Amino acid sequence: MPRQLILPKTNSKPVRFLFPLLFFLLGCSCVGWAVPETAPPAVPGHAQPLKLRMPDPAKLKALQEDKAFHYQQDLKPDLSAWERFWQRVGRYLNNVTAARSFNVFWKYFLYAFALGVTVFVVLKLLQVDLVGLFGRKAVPVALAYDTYRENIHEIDFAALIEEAEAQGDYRRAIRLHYLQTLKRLTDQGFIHWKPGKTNRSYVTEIRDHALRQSFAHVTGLFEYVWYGGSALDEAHFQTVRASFLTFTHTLRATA
Amino acid sequence: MNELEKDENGAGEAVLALAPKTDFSALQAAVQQIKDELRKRIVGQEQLVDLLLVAILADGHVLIEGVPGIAKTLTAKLLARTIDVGFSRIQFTPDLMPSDVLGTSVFHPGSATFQFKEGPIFSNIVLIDEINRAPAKTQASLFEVMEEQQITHDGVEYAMGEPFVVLATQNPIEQEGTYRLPEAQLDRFMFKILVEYPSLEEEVAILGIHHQRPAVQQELEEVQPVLTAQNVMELRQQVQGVHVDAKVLEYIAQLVVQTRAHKALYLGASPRASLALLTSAKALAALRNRGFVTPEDVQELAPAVLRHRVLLTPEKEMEGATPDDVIKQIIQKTEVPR
Repeated sequence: MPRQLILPKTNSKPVRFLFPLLFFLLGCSCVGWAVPETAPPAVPGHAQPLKLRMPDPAKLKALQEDKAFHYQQDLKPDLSAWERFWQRVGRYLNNVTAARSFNVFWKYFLYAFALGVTVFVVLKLLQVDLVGLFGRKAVPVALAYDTYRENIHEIDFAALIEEAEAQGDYRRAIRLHYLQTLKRLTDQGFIHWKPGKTNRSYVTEIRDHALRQSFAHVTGLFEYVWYGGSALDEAHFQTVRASFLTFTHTLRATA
Repeated sequence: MNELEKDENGAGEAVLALAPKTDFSALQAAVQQIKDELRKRIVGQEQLVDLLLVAILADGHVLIEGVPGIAKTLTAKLLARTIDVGFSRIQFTPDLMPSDVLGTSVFHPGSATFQFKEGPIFSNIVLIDEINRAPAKTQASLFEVMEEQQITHDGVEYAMGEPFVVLATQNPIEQEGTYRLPEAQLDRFMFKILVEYPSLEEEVAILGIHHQRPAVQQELEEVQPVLTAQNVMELRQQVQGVHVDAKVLEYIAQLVVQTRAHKALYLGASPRASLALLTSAKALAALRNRGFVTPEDVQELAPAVLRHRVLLTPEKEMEGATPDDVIKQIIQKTEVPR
Protein backbone atom coordinates (compact mmCIF):
# COMPACT_ATOMS: atom_id res chain seq x y z
CA MET A 1 0.00 0.00 0.00
CA PRO A 2 1.54 3.35 -1.06
CA ARG A 3 2.37 5.84 1.58
CA GLN A 4 0.43 9.08 1.72
CA LEU A 5 1.56 12.35 3.08
CA ILE A 6 -0.78 13.21 5.80
CA LEU A 7 -0.80 16.84 6.72
CA PRO A 8 -2.11 17.98 10.02
CA LYS A 9 -5.59 19.33 9.95
CA THR A 10 -5.57 23.05 10.45
CA ASN A 11 -7.67 26.06 9.77
CA SER A 12 -5.87 26.58 6.36
CA LYS A 13 -7.64 29.53 4.63
CA PRO A 14 -4.98 32.23 5.33
CA VAL A 15 -2.18 29.80 4.30
CA ARG A 16 -3.69 29.15 0.89
CA PHE A 17 -3.22 32.86 -0.02
CA LEU A 18 0.16 33.19 1.58
CA PHE A 19 2.12 31.08 -0.97
CA PRO A 20 0.83 32.82 -4.17
CA LEU A 21 1.63 36.16 -2.54
CA LEU A 22 5.14 35.05 -1.78
CA PHE A 23 5.76 33.96 -5.40
CA PHE A 24 4.38 37.22 -6.70
CA LEU A 25 6.68 39.33 -4.56
CA LEU A 26 9.72 37.29 -5.57
CA GLY A 27 8.83 37.74 -9.23
CA CYS A 28 8.63 41.51 -8.81
CA SER A 29 12.08 41.72 -7.22
CA CYS A 30 13.67 39.71 -10.04
CA VAL A 31 12.27 42.04 -12.67
CA GLY A 32 13.75 44.99 -10.80
CA TRP A 33 17.35 43.45 -10.70
CA ALA A 34 17.41 42.67 -14.38
CA VAL A 35 17.55 46.35 -15.35
CA PRO A 36 20.95 47.06 -17.07
CA GLU A 37 23.41 49.60 -15.59
CA THR A 38 23.90 52.87 -17.37
CA ALA A 39 27.28 53.90 -15.63
CA PRO A 40 29.96 55.62 -17.95
CA PRO A 41 33.07 53.58 -19.06
CA ALA A 42 36.37 53.91 -17.04
CA VAL A 43 39.15 56.17 -18.53
CA PRO A 44 42.87 56.42 -17.47
CA GLY A 45 43.54 59.13 -15.02
CA HIS A 46 46.94 60.16 -16.50
CA ALA A 47 46.82 63.27 -18.41
CA GLN A 48 50.63 63.50 -19.14
CA PRO A 49 52.28 61.74 -22.24
CA LEU A 50 54.32 58.52 -21.63
CA LYS A 51 58.19 58.68 -21.73
CA LEU A 52 60.04 56.23 -24.04
CA ARG A 53 63.02 54.51 -22.24
CA MET A 54 66.10 53.49 -24.28
CA PRO A 55 69.30 51.55 -23.14
CA ASP A 56 72.44 53.49 -22.41
CA PRO A 57 74.45 53.50 -25.68
CA ALA A 58 77.78 53.30 -23.82
CA LYS A 59 76.70 50.24 -21.83
CA LEU A 60 75.21 48.64 -24.92
CA LYS A 61 78.49 49.05 -26.77
CA ALA A 62 80.45 47.56 -23.89
CA LEU A 63 78.19 44.52 -23.84
CA GLN A 64 78.48 44.11 -27.62
CA GLU A 65 82.26 44.11 -27.32
CA ASP A 66 82.32 41.60 -24.41
CA LYS A 67 83.64 38.23 -25.74
CA ALA A 68 81.49 36.36 -23.33
CA PHE A 69 78.47 37.33 -25.39
CA HIS A 70 79.92 36.27 -28.73
CA TYR A 71 77.97 33.05 -28.97
CA GLN A 72 78.91 32.21 -32.51
CA GLN A 73 82.58 31.38 -31.83
CA ASP A 74 84.15 29.16 -29.02
CA LEU A 75 86.67 30.74 -26.75
CA LYS A 76 90.03 29.00 -26.32
CA PRO A 77 90.47 27.95 -22.67
CA ASP A 78 93.52 29.27 -20.85
CA LEU A 79 95.73 26.14 -20.60
CA SER A 80 98.94 25.77 -18.63
CA ALA A 81 102.08 24.31 -20.24
CA TRP A 82 101.50 20.99 -18.41
CA GLU A 83 97.92 20.75 -19.66
CA ARG A 84 99.03 21.56 -23.20
CA PHE A 85 101.62 18.78 -22.97
CA TRP A 86 99.03 16.16 -22.01
CA GLN A 87 96.70 17.49 -24.68
CA ARG A 88 99.38 16.81 -27.28
CA VAL A 89 100.06 13.37 -25.85
CA GLY A 90 96.34 12.61 -26.04
CA ARG A 91 96.20 13.76 -29.63
CA TYR A 92 99.22 11.63 -30.50
CA LEU A 93 97.69 8.52 -28.88
CA ASN A 94 94.44 9.14 -30.68
CA ASN A 95 96.33 9.23 -33.95
CA VAL A 96 98.24 6.04 -33.12
CA THR A 97 95.21 4.02 -32.05
CA ALA A 98 93.28 5.16 -35.03
CA ALA A 99 95.95 3.68 -37.31
CA ARG A 100 95.29 0.31 -38.88
CA SER A 101 98.65 -1.17 -37.84
CA PHE A 102 97.76 -0.60 -34.21
CA ASN A 103 94.70 -2.82 -34.43
CA VAL A 104 96.92 -5.57 -35.84
CA PHE A 105 99.30 -5.13 -32.91
CA TRP A 106 96.47 -5.55 -30.38
CA LYS A 107 95.29 -8.67 -32.11
CA TYR A 108 98.68 -10.37 -31.74
CA PHE A 109 99.15 -8.98 -28.26
CA LEU A 110 95.93 -10.67 -27.10
CA TYR A 111 97.02 -13.96 -28.67
CA ALA A 112 100.37 -13.74 -26.86
CA PHE A 113 98.69 -12.86 -23.55
CA ALA A 114 96.29 -15.82 -23.76
CA LEU A 115 99.20 -18.15 -24.54
CA GLY A 116 101.19 -16.78 -21.58
CA VAL A 117 98.28 -17.29 -19.17
CA THR A 118 97.81 -20.86 -20.39
CA VAL A 119 101.52 -21.68 -19.91
CA PHE A 120 101.49 -20.12 -16.44
CA VAL A 121 98.45 -22.14 -15.34
CA VAL A 122 99.94 -25.38 -16.66
CA LEU A 123 103.27 -24.75 -14.90
CA LYS A 124 101.46 -23.89 -11.67
CA LEU A 125 99.39 -27.07 -11.87
CA LEU A 126 102.55 -29.09 -12.43
CA GLN A 127 104.10 -27.25 -9.43
CA VAL A 128 107.12 -26.18 -11.46
CA ASP A 129 109.44 -23.70 -9.73
CA LEU A 130 108.86 -20.67 -11.96
CA VAL A 131 111.58 -18.58 -10.32
CA GLY A 132 114.08 -21.38 -10.84
CA LEU A 133 113.32 -21.42 -14.58
CA PHE A 134 114.86 -17.99 -14.93
CA GLY A 135 118.12 -18.85 -13.23
CA ARG A 136 117.34 -18.06 -9.56
CA LYS A 137 116.73 -21.13 -7.48
CA ALA A 138 113.91 -20.92 -4.92
CA VAL A 139 114.83 -21.13 -1.24
CA PRO A 140 114.56 -24.83 -0.36
CA VAL A 141 113.55 -24.44 3.31
CA ALA A 142 109.89 -24.24 4.26
CA LEU A 143 110.34 -21.33 6.62
CA ALA A 144 111.64 -17.99 5.47
CA TYR A 145 112.73 -16.92 8.93
CA ASP A 146 115.33 -19.47 9.97
CA THR A 147 117.68 -17.97 12.46
CA TYR A 148 120.78 -20.08 12.03
CA ARG A 149 123.46 -17.77 13.24
CA GLU A 150 126.44 -20.01 13.76
CA ASN A 151 127.80 -23.09 12.16
CA ILE A 152 129.97 -24.94 14.64
CA HIS A 153 131.96 -26.43 11.79
CA GLU A 154 133.17 -23.03 10.68
CA ILE A 155 134.20 -21.59 14.04
CA ASP A 156 137.88 -21.28 14.96
CA PHE A 157 137.42 -22.41 18.55
CA ALA A 158 141.05 -22.21 19.66
CA ALA A 159 141.39 -18.57 18.66
CA LEU A 160 138.01 -17.52 20.05
CA ILE A 161 138.49 -19.31 23.39
CA GLU A 162 141.91 -17.70 23.76
CA GLU A 163 140.39 -14.31 22.98
CA ALA A 164 137.53 -14.77 25.48
CA GLU A 165 139.92 -15.88 28.23
CA ALA A 166 142.22 -12.95 27.55
CA GLN A 167 139.25 -10.57 27.85
CA GLY A 168 138.11 -12.21 31.09
CA ASP A 169 134.81 -13.17 29.44
CA TYR A 170 134.66 -16.58 31.10
CA ARG A 171 130.99 -17.25 30.37
CA ARG A 172 131.66 -16.89 26.67
CA ALA A 173 134.73 -19.10 27.01
CA ILE A 174 132.60 -21.84 28.62
CA ARG A 175 130.06 -21.48 25.84
CA LEU A 176 132.77 -21.93 23.22
CA HIS A 177 134.08 -24.98 25.08
CA TYR A 178 130.60 -26.48 24.98
CA LEU A 179 130.12 -25.74 21.28
CA GLN A 180 133.52 -27.30 20.61
CA THR A 181 132.37 -30.37 22.53
CA LEU A 182 129.27 -30.59 20.37
CA LYS A 183 131.41 -30.32 17.24
CA ARG A 184 133.67 -33.15 18.42
CA LEU A 185 130.65 -35.33 19.22
CA THR A 186 129.24 -34.61 15.76
CA ASP A 187 132.55 -35.26 14.01
CA GLN A 188 132.82 -38.63 15.72
CA GLY A 189 129.26 -39.55 14.88
CA PHE A 190 127.84 -39.64 18.42
CA ILE A 191 125.27 -36.95 17.73
CA HIS A 192 123.66 -35.40 14.69
CA TRP A 193 124.04 -31.62 14.90
CA LYS A 194 120.94 -29.53 14.30
CA PRO A 195 120.50 -25.98 15.59
CA GLY A 196 116.91 -26.68 16.68
CA LYS A 197 117.86 -29.48 19.07
CA THR A 198 118.21 -28.88 22.77
CA ASN A 199 121.19 -29.93 24.86
CA ARG A 200 119.16 -32.72 26.46
CA SER A 201 118.29 -34.03 22.98
CA TYR A 202 122.00 -34.51 22.34
CA VAL A 203 122.41 -36.20 25.72
CA THR A 204 119.73 -38.77 24.92
CA GLU A 205 121.21 -39.26 21.45
CA ILE A 206 124.47 -40.68 22.83
CA ARG A 207 124.17 -44.43 23.19
CA ASP A 208 127.37 -45.09 25.15
CA HIS A 209 126.29 -44.95 28.79
CA ALA A 210 129.56 -43.65 30.28
CA LEU A 211 129.95 -41.02 27.61
CA ARG A 212 126.31 -39.97 28.02
CA GLN A 213 126.76 -39.53 31.77
CA SER A 214 129.90 -37.51 31.26
CA PHE A 215 128.29 -35.34 28.59
CA ALA A 216 125.20 -34.82 30.75
CA HIS A 217 127.50 -33.46 33.43
CA VAL A 218 129.26 -30.88 31.23
CA THR A 219 125.87 -29.98 29.78
CA GLY A 220 124.64 -29.22 33.30
CA LEU A 221 127.72 -27.06 33.93
CA PHE A 222 127.19 -25.15 30.69
CA GLU A 223 123.50 -24.58 31.41
CA TYR A 224 124.18 -23.25 34.90
CA VAL A 225 126.81 -20.87 33.55
CA TRP A 226 125.10 -19.82 30.32
CA TYR A 227 121.36 -19.80 31.16
CA GLY A 228 121.71 -19.39 34.93
CA GLY A 229 123.54 -16.12 34.55
CA SER A 230 126.37 -17.14 36.90
CA ALA A 231 129.23 -14.63 36.89
CA LEU A 232 132.39 -16.78 36.77
CA ASP A 233 135.70 -15.64 38.19
CA GLU A 234 138.96 -17.10 36.93
CA ALA A 235 139.28 -19.71 39.69
CA HIS A 236 135.78 -21.05 39.04
CA PHE A 237 136.38 -20.92 35.32
CA GLN A 238 139.49 -23.07 35.61
CA THR A 239 137.52 -25.65 37.62
CA VAL A 240 134.75 -25.82 35.03
CA ARG A 241 137.26 -25.85 32.18
CA ALA A 242 138.94 -28.85 33.78
CA SER A 243 135.62 -30.75 33.56
CA PHE A 244 135.42 -30.03 29.83
CA LEU A 245 139.00 -31.24 29.36
CA THR A 246 138.16 -34.43 31.27
CA PHE A 247 135.20 -35.01 28.97
CA THR A 248 137.42 -34.48 25.92
CA HIS A 249 139.77 -37.20 27.21
CA THR A 250 136.78 -39.51 27.80
CA LEU A 251 135.59 -38.83 24.27
CA ARG A 252 138.99 -39.64 22.79
CA ALA A 253 139.15 -42.84 24.83
CA THR A 254 135.67 -43.88 23.68
CA ALA A 255 136.48 -43.19 20.05
CA MET B 1 120.63 -33.64 45.61
CA ASN B 2 121.59 -31.95 42.39
CA GLU B 3 123.52 -34.12 39.93
CA LEU B 4 126.21 -31.48 39.62
CA GLU B 5 127.13 -31.95 43.27
CA LYS B 6 128.52 -35.40 42.38
CA ASP B 7 131.32 -33.82 40.37
CA GLU B 8 134.74 -35.12 41.43
CA ASN B 9 136.82 -32.07 40.57
CA GLY B 10 134.41 -29.66 42.28
CA ALA B 11 133.23 -27.89 39.15
CA GLY B 12 129.62 -28.69 39.95
CA GLU B 13 129.84 -27.20 43.41
CA ALA B 14 131.60 -24.17 42.02
CA VAL B 15 128.85 -23.57 39.48
CA LEU B 16 126.06 -24.24 41.97
CA ALA B 17 127.62 -21.75 44.36
CA LEU B 18 127.39 -19.09 41.68
CA ALA B 19 123.92 -20.03 40.45
CA PRO B 20 120.83 -18.04 41.49
CA LYS B 21 119.99 -18.80 45.12
CA THR B 22 116.74 -20.65 45.14
CA ASP B 23 115.30 -23.19 47.53
CA PHE B 24 112.47 -25.13 46.00
CA SER B 25 112.51 -27.91 48.60
CA ALA B 26 109.05 -26.96 49.95
CA LEU B 27 107.66 -26.85 46.44
CA GLN B 28 109.25 -30.18 45.56
CA ALA B 29 107.82 -31.82 48.66
CA ALA B 30 104.34 -30.43 48.04
CA VAL B 31 104.32 -31.49 44.41
CA GLN B 32 105.47 -34.97 45.33
CA GLN B 33 102.70 -35.27 47.91
CA ILE B 34 100.07 -34.11 45.42
CA LYS B 35 101.29 -36.59 42.84
CA ASP B 36 101.18 -39.39 45.43
CA GLU B 37 97.59 -38.52 46.29
CA LEU B 38 96.58 -38.46 42.65
CA ARG B 39 98.35 -41.72 41.81
CA LYS B 40 96.14 -43.54 44.28
CA ARG B 41 93.19 -42.92 41.95
CA ILE B 42 94.60 -41.91 38.59
CA VAL B 43 96.63 -44.21 36.39
CA GLY B 44 99.06 -42.58 33.98
CA GLN B 45 98.24 -39.02 32.84
CA GLU B 46 101.65 -37.88 34.10
CA GLN B 47 101.88 -35.04 31.61
CA LEU B 48 98.37 -33.87 32.44
CA VAL B 49 99.17 -33.74 36.15
CA ASP B 50 102.51 -31.96 35.57
CA LEU B 51 100.93 -29.33 33.36
CA LEU B 52 98.06 -28.78 35.80
CA LEU B 53 100.58 -28.18 38.59
CA VAL B 54 102.60 -25.83 36.37
CA ALA B 55 99.43 -23.88 35.57
CA ILE B 56 98.50 -23.53 39.23
CA LEU B 57 102.01 -22.29 40.05
CA ALA B 58 102.02 -19.95 37.04
CA ASP B 59 98.57 -18.49 37.73
CA GLY B 60 97.06 -19.87 34.55
CA HIS B 61 93.86 -21.51 33.40
CA VAL B 62 93.77 -24.89 31.70
CA LEU B 63 91.62 -26.36 28.95
CA ILE B 64 91.65 -30.15 28.91
CA GLU B 65 90.47 -31.77 25.71
CA GLY B 66 89.80 -35.42 25.14
CA VAL B 67 87.14 -37.92 24.24
CA PRO B 68 84.68 -38.88 26.99
CA GLY B 69 85.76 -41.34 29.65
CA ILE B 70 89.46 -40.70 30.05
CA ALA B 71 89.38 -39.18 33.56
CA LYS B 72 89.61 -35.52 32.55
CA THR B 73 87.03 -34.41 35.08
CA LEU B 74 88.18 -36.83 37.77
CA THR B 75 91.79 -35.63 37.54
CA ALA B 76 90.71 -32.00 37.78
CA LYS B 77 88.45 -32.75 40.75
CA LEU B 78 91.13 -34.71 42.57
CA LEU B 79 93.72 -32.00 41.99
CA ALA B 80 91.30 -29.41 43.33
CA ARG B 81 90.84 -31.56 46.44
CA THR B 82 94.58 -31.60 47.12
CA ILE B 83 94.53 -27.83 47.56
CA ASP B 84 92.55 -26.64 50.54
CA VAL B 85 90.66 -23.85 48.81
CA GLY B 86 87.15 -23.20 47.55
CA PHE B 87 86.05 -25.46 44.75
CA SER B 88 83.00 -25.29 42.53
CA ARG B 89 81.91 -27.16 39.48
CA ILE B 90 79.76 -25.85 36.67
CA GLN B 91 78.29 -28.21 34.13
CA PHE B 92 77.96 -26.22 30.91
CA THR B 93 74.78 -27.01 29.02
CA PRO B 94 73.19 -25.50 25.89
CA ASP B 95 70.60 -23.54 27.92
CA LEU B 96 73.03 -22.13 30.49
CA MET B 97 72.86 -18.33 30.83
CA PRO B 98 75.68 -15.93 31.83
CA SER B 99 73.81 -15.08 35.04
CA ASP B 100 73.85 -18.78 35.95
CA VAL B 101 77.64 -18.58 36.00
CA LEU B 102 78.42 -15.09 37.25
CA GLY B 103 75.45 -14.37 39.52
CA THR B 104 72.45 -12.10 39.41
CA SER B 105 70.67 -9.33 41.30
CA VAL B 106 67.79 -10.51 43.49
CA PHE B 107 65.14 -8.21 44.95
CA HIS B 108 65.22 -8.16 48.73
CA PRO B 109 61.71 -7.30 49.98
CA GLY B 110 62.85 -6.39 53.51
CA SER B 111 65.10 -3.54 52.39
CA ALA B 112 63.32 -2.99 49.05
CA THR B 113 66.70 -3.17 47.28
CA PHE B 114 68.42 -5.45 44.80
CA GLN B 115 71.21 -7.58 46.20
CA PHE B 116 73.85 -9.35 44.14
CA LYS B 117 73.80 -13.12 44.55
CA GLU B 118 77.17 -14.58 43.60
CA GLY B 119 77.25 -17.34 41.01
CA PRO B 120 79.36 -20.49 41.12
CA ILE B 121 82.29 -18.72 39.48
CA PHE B 122 83.02 -17.18 42.90
CA SER B 123 85.46 -19.82 44.08
CA ASN B 124 89.18 -20.55 43.96
CA ILE B 125 89.29 -23.55 41.70
CA VAL B 126 86.42 -23.65 39.23
CA LEU B 127 85.89 -26.78 37.21
CA ILE B 128 83.87 -26.07 34.08
CA ASP B 129 82.83 -29.39 32.70
CA GLU B 130 82.20 -29.65 28.97
CA ILE B 131 82.73 -25.95 28.37
CA ASN B 132 81.95 -26.24 24.66
CA ARG B 133 78.40 -27.43 25.31
CA ALA B 134 77.31 -23.85 26.12
CA PRO B 135 76.76 -21.33 23.33
CA ALA B 136 79.05 -18.36 22.68
CA LYS B 137 76.98 -15.98 24.83
CA THR B 138 77.65 -17.96 28.00
CA GLN B 139 81.24 -18.66 27.09
CA ALA B 140 81.83 -14.94 26.55
CA SER B 141 80.74 -14.25 30.12
CA LEU B 142 84.06 -15.77 31.23
CA PHE B 143 86.22 -13.24 29.36
CA GLU B 144 86.57 -10.71 32.16
CA VAL B 145 86.82 -13.12 35.04
CA MET B 146 89.50 -15.24 33.40
CA GLU B 147 91.71 -12.31 32.46
CA GLU B 148 91.12 -9.81 35.25
CA GLN B 149 89.89 -12.13 37.99
CA GLN B 150 86.85 -9.97 38.58
CA ILE B 151 83.37 -9.54 37.23
CA THR B 152 81.39 -6.35 36.68
CA HIS B 153 77.68 -6.44 37.45
CA ASP B 154 75.42 -3.38 37.37
CA GLY B 155 78.54 -1.21 37.28
CA VAL B 156 80.02 -2.78 40.40
CA GLU B 157 83.25 -4.80 40.29
CA TYR B 158 83.45 -8.01 42.28
CA ALA B 159 86.96 -9.45 42.70
CA MET B 160 87.68 -13.16 42.89
CA GLY B 161 89.63 -14.68 45.75
CA GLU B 162 93.21 -15.83 45.30
CA PRO B 163 94.19 -18.22 43.88
CA PHE B 164 91.68 -18.29 41.04
CA VAL B 165 92.09 -21.07 38.52
CA VAL B 166 89.66 -22.24 35.86
CA LEU B 167 90.01 -25.87 34.81
CA ALA B 168 87.77 -26.55 31.83
CA THR B 169 87.17 -29.79 30.02
CA GLN B 170 85.83 -30.21 26.54
CA ASN B 171 85.19 -32.89 24.01
CA PRO B 172 86.79 -32.51 20.60
CA ILE B 173 84.87 -29.97 18.54
CA GLU B 174 83.84 -32.53 15.97
CA GLN B 175 81.56 -34.12 18.58
CA GLU B 176 77.79 -33.73 18.34
CA GLY B 177 76.17 -30.74 20.07
CA THR B 178 79.29 -28.71 20.78
CA TYR B 179 80.19 -25.09 20.02
CA ARG B 180 83.66 -23.91 19.07
CA LEU B 181 85.15 -21.65 21.75
CA PRO B 182 85.81 -18.06 20.60
CA GLU B 183 89.47 -17.22 19.92
CA ALA B 184 89.41 -14.52 22.59
CA GLN B 185 88.45 -17.07 25.20
CA LEU B 186 90.88 -19.72 24.00
CA ASP B 187 93.65 -17.14 24.34
CA ARG B 188 92.82 -16.81 28.02
CA PHE B 189 93.73 -20.41 28.71
CA MET B 190 97.40 -20.85 29.51
CA PHE B 191 97.42 -24.47 28.30
CA LYS B 192 95.34 -26.69 26.15
CA ILE B 193 96.17 -30.22 27.17
CA LEU B 194 95.26 -33.07 24.89
CA VAL B 195 94.45 -36.25 26.78
CA GLU B 196 94.88 -39.49 24.91
CA TYR B 197 93.53 -42.95 25.59
CA PRO B 198 95.55 -44.95 28.14
CA SER B 199 97.92 -47.66 26.95
CA LEU B 200 97.04 -51.34 27.35
CA GLU B 201 99.07 -51.64 30.56
CA GLU B 202 97.46 -48.52 31.97
CA GLU B 203 94.01 -49.79 31.05
CA VAL B 204 94.68 -53.03 32.91
CA ALA B 205 95.91 -51.06 35.92
CA ILE B 206 92.74 -48.92 35.83
CA LEU B 207 90.61 -52.06 35.87
CA GLY B 208 92.62 -53.46 38.76
CA ILE B 209 92.17 -50.31 40.85
CA HIS B 210 88.47 -49.99 40.13
CA HIS B 211 87.66 -53.66 40.64
CA GLN B 212 87.14 -53.18 44.37
CA ARG B 213 87.07 -49.44 44.59
CA PRO B 214 84.81 -47.53 46.96
CA ALA B 215 82.11 -45.17 45.70
CA VAL B 216 83.36 -42.15 43.77
CA GLN B 217 82.27 -39.66 46.43
CA GLN B 218 83.99 -41.65 49.17
CA GLU B 219 87.04 -41.87 46.94
CA LEU B 220 87.16 -38.10 46.60
CA GLU B 221 86.75 -37.54 50.32
CA GLU B 222 89.76 -39.72 51.02
CA VAL B 223 92.02 -37.29 49.18
CA GLN B 224 93.93 -35.17 51.65
CA PRO B 225 94.62 -31.48 51.06
CA VAL B 226 98.32 -30.80 50.67
CA LEU B 227 98.46 -27.05 50.13
CA THR B 228 96.51 -24.07 51.45
CA ALA B 229 95.70 -20.91 49.53
CA GLN B 230 98.49 -19.16 51.40
CA ASN B 231 100.97 -21.89 50.40
CA VAL B 232 99.99 -21.56 46.76
CA MET B 233 100.51 -17.80 46.81
CA GLU B 234 103.93 -18.21 48.47
CA LEU B 235 105.01 -20.78 45.90
CA ARG B 236 103.86 -18.49 43.11
CA GLN B 237 105.98 -15.73 44.59
CA GLN B 238 108.96 -18.06 44.59
CA VAL B 239 108.37 -19.06 40.99
CA GLN B 240 108.37 -15.40 40.01
CA GLY B 241 111.99 -15.22 41.15
CA VAL B 242 113.24 -17.83 38.69
CA HIS B 243 115.98 -16.39 36.48
CA VAL B 244 115.38 -16.07 32.72
CA ASP B 245 118.33 -15.12 30.59
CA ALA B 246 117.88 -12.54 27.81
CA LYS B 247 118.74 -15.20 25.22
CA VAL B 248 115.90 -17.41 26.44
CA LEU B 249 113.50 -14.46 26.37
CA GLU B 250 114.46 -13.85 22.76
CA TYR B 251 113.96 -17.53 22.01
CA ILE B 252 110.41 -17.41 23.44
CA ALA B 253 109.63 -14.32 21.40
CA GLN B 254 111.02 -15.91 18.23
CA LEU B 255 108.86 -18.99 18.60
CA VAL B 256 105.71 -16.95 19.10
CA VAL B 257 106.42 -14.37 16.41
CA GLN B 258 107.07 -17.10 13.87
CA THR B 259 103.51 -18.37 14.30
CA ARG B 260 102.33 -15.02 12.93
CA ALA B 261 104.38 -15.32 9.72
CA HIS B 262 103.97 -19.01 9.03
CA LYS B 263 102.29 -19.72 5.72
CA ALA B 264 100.39 -22.71 7.13
CA LEU B 265 98.76 -20.58 9.82
CA TYR B 266 95.82 -18.28 9.30
CA LEU B 267 96.08 -16.82 12.80
CA GLY B 268 99.22 -16.61 14.92
CA ALA B 269 99.69 -16.46 18.66
CA SER B 270 99.30 -13.23 20.63
CA PRO B 271 101.76 -11.58 23.05
CA ARG B 272 99.66 -13.19 25.78
CA ALA B 273 101.05 -16.48 24.48
CA SER B 274 104.61 -15.20 24.97
CA LEU B 275 103.78 -14.23 28.54
CA ALA B 276 102.15 -17.59 29.19
CA LEU B 277 105.18 -19.40 27.79
CA LEU B 278 107.49 -17.34 29.97
CA THR B 279 105.60 -17.76 33.26
CA SER B 280 104.91 -21.43 32.69
CA ALA B 281 108.56 -22.10 31.79
CA LYS B 282 109.56 -20.49 35.09
CA ALA B 283 107.13 -22.73 36.97
CA LEU B 284 108.41 -25.82 35.16
CA ALA B 285 112.01 -24.90 35.98
CA ALA B 286 111.02 -24.57 39.65
CA LEU B 287 109.27 -27.94 39.52
CA ARG B 288 112.57 -29.37 38.25
CA ASN B 289 114.42 -27.73 41.11
CA ARG B 290 116.21 -25.25 38.89
CA GLY B 291 116.52 -21.53 39.50
CA PHE B 292 116.69 -20.64 35.82
CA VAL B 293 114.84 -21.44 32.60
CA THR B 294 116.44 -23.41 29.78
CA PRO B 295 115.30 -23.65 26.14
CA GLU B 296 114.34 -27.24 26.98
CA ASP B 297 111.59 -25.95 29.30
CA VAL B 298 110.33 -23.61 26.60
CA GLN B 299 110.28 -26.32 23.94
CA GLU B 300 108.45 -28.72 26.21
CA LEU B 301 105.67 -26.25 26.99
CA ALA B 302 105.35 -24.59 23.57
CA PRO B 303 102.80 -27.04 22.10
CA ALA B 304 100.47 -26.78 25.13
CA VAL B 305 100.73 -22.98 25.13
CA LEU B 306 100.40 -22.41 21.39
CA ARG B 307 98.16 -25.13 19.96
CA HIS B 308 94.85 -23.46 20.86
CA ARG B 309 96.05 -19.97 19.95
CA VAL B 310 96.82 -20.63 16.30
CA LEU B 311 94.49 -21.38 13.40
CA LEU B 312 95.50 -23.42 10.40
CA THR B 313 94.75 -22.21 6.90
CA PRO B 314 91.83 -24.05 5.28
CA GLU B 315 94.23 -25.73 2.82
CA LYS B 316 96.34 -27.18 5.63
CA GLU B 317 93.25 -28.32 7.51
CA MET B 318 92.07 -30.14 4.40
CA GLU B 319 95.47 -31.78 4.13
CA GLY B 320 94.95 -33.14 7.63
CA ALA B 321 97.70 -31.12 9.32
CA THR B 322 97.36 -30.17 12.99
CA PRO B 323 98.58 -27.11 14.89
CA ASP B 324 101.01 -29.40 16.72
CA ASP B 325 102.66 -30.32 13.40
CA VAL B 326 103.28 -26.66 12.58
CA ILE B 327 104.49 -25.84 16.09
CA LYS B 328 106.89 -28.77 15.95
CA GLN B 329 108.20 -27.53 12.61
CA ILE B 330 108.74 -24.04 14.03
CA ILE B 331 110.61 -25.46 17.04
CA GLN B 332 112.85 -27.56 14.80
CA LYS B 333 113.68 -24.63 12.55
CA THR B 334 114.47 -22.15 15.31
CA GLU B 335 117.99 -22.15 16.61
CA VAL B 336 118.27 -22.95 20.29
CA PRO B 337 120.27 -20.19 21.98
CA ARG B 338 123.57 -21.50 23.23
